[in-house]
Amino acid sequence: MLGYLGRRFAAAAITLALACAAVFASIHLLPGDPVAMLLGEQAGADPEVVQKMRGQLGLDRPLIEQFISWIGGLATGDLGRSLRTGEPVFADVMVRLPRSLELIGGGLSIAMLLGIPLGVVAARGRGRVAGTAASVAAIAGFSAPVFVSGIILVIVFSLWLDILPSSGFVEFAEDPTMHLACLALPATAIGINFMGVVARMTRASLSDTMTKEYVRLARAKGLSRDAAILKHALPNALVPVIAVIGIRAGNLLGGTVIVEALFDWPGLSSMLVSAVFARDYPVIQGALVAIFAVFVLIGLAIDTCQGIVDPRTRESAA
Amino acid sequence: MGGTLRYGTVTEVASLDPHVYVGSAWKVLIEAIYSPLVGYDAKGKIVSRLAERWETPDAKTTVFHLRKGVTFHDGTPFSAEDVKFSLDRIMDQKTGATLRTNLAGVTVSVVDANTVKLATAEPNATLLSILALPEAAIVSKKWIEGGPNVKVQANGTGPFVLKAYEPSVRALLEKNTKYFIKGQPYLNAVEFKMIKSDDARVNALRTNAVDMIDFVPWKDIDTLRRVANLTVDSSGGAFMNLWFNATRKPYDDVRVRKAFAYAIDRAAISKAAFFGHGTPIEGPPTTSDSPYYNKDLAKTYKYDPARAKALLAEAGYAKGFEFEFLVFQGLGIYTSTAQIVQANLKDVGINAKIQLVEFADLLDRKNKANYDVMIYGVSMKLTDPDVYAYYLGADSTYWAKPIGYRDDTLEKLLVDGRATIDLNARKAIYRKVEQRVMETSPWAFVNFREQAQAYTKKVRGYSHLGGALNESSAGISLPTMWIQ
Repeated sequence: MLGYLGRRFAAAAITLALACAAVFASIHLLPGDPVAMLLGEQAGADPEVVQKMRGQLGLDRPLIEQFISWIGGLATGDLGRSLRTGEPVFADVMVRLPRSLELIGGGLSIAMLLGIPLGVVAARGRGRVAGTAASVAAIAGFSAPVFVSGIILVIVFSLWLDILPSSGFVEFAEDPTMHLACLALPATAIGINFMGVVARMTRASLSDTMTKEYVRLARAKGLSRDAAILKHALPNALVPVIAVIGIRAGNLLGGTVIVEALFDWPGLSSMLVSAVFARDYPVIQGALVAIFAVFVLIGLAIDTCQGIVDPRTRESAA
Repeated sequence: MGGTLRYGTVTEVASLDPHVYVGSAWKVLIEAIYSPLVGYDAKGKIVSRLAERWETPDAKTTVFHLRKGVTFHDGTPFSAEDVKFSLDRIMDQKTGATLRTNLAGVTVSVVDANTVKLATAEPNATLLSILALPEAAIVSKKWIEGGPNVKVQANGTGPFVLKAYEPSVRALLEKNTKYFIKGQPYLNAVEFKMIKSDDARVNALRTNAVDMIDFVPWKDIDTLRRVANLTVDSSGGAFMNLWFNATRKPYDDVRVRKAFAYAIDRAAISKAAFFGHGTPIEGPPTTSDSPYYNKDLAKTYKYDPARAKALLAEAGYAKGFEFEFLVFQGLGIYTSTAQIVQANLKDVGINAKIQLVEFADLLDRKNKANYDVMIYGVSMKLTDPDVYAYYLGADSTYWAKPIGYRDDTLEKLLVDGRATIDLNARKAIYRKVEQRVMETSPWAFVNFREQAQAYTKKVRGYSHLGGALNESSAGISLPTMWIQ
């Protein structure tokens, strides 16, 4: 088991290192100059001034040298300093990352709370009105883009009912109620969108499991159909669903851009987008590395769990 | 009077360096935290700030007598040394300051603790109007020399003190109880929320999460005006243009540039791209309320496709040509304008291939002179007509220098204008400047862009200014605004 985990960690570290190199190389290929963006339309076009500023920011060094010093810093948890604010990127990432994780966590919880029951109803009632209705709701959920469902949520809950803020962010420590109120709509927008995927996965997996012999055995022993589904089929059917949710959580980290912008939620995605527009290289790199790191950690967690739960995975990996 | 103003802004202010402009809200913040020597009042008149009074013994010298007993927010007393240090910091290339070239050739000397003398090599009529900008903020020498990160910390003499700041997200200001103008500011606090998304900003105002927003999207100006609880103020503060790479063929031919100017249907652009909030510019880009406005030139380039065709034929392009039309992809006003211009140009035989780019890309290609024609939005930076030197002057890195454009006639007029103090004599010179700009058509002016602020009825004391001071409206009003 330890050998298995060691190999998984080594693979994760290599993945992360390769990702860092790819990130560094690709962002320097983007057209645009961070110094021009920093200094504006006039001063940023003055070659002498631009050259001096490059020197101060260390951007005049050869790319390979910049890469080596960045990687060196990375090993010690130093992600460099933002070109725009001059502040350490690591600290900024640590401020933004929890906000994004919270948003995604909220969204995924809502997706599971709504999606799993929907999936169960759909699987249980196949070919009947309830099942079809549940399937339609699931499809509607993931078919509507987040910005559409997001705007509908704002119109209903903020403009009409006036019970939730349309956007914004308040630190939890400052005002816990307001913090959660601000979280409600963006998390729901993500939740509704992902609910459809969860429902479809649950339905497919459960339909499959319901035909398994142990479920039929449970029925033969005299359990009601619902009891057999809930007690025996569902727990097994949820294993692949959870794995998909885990992977999706990593995806969402870089993919909540629209939700964060629409609801003015200052998470990691909006930090990344703003840094890309400004060509703030260290911030782009730092944010992407954080996203990769979380992604790799989730993968590692899933592998580890599967390794513990299912010995066959462990052996086949060896 | 008092209260907290919650201000929703489109600008993600990532740095508070008081000498490097990064957007409209930066200007408001810097004007609230720092003070220049002189400033503008709500009528655009130059008034006292850190300088109590000033005199000009000759056309090349200005002497400033400073206020006594002023302290920075950290408690350090303010003195003449700080003025010299600040202006020298602006002129130092290492700072990358926005006003560096505007102050080029200025020598600052400390006469005594409360007196500073500014000398220029040539007579310079624009100096006061430059020093009155928020970008000419006076910083504390002692504080800066202590090595703070001026991009995230602040220490000024202005009406508000920076209490909390998360770059690109939020800034919280509190009243400076020791502000040197007695009785100001009225507000207890100002909270800036940086809300880049247009819809989120408008919704925040409608749901009372903020009291005021800037950069009201053009599509929402009329809608918000119909909301009972809201006021929307708008006026021209920027203008849209086609920028030619005027040293590259065929744009080096004035007839081709003029053909573009005649081909554009500005009324259609105003209606479709700006929802009626973008007055066409058929003459020079000077608003009718300016003392330099010349109505004789106001109708120079009326929509006239036939004339455009004739000019193209004269220049040898009767069959037209094709070019890459560089357009910023981030705002509907740019992309809609581009589509209309594209259709207009097609009517006269020119095939514009629209290339949508990010702002960083656009700026890069502008600075490297790597373009044919682009749409460029220009905010009117200076109240003085010497702004033409910034727009079109051969030494300005804004547009002309990267492409190597120089019009000697214009250059001479601009030098004369800067050196002339008498208002009537200056008016005569800038009439000639504008005539020359019309004759040479280095840019094809399209329309004024109304810039609007919207706020709830609780917000009092705000004056919305037009022209070059438009961006400063909130900054100028802030000390005398309050929440009812």
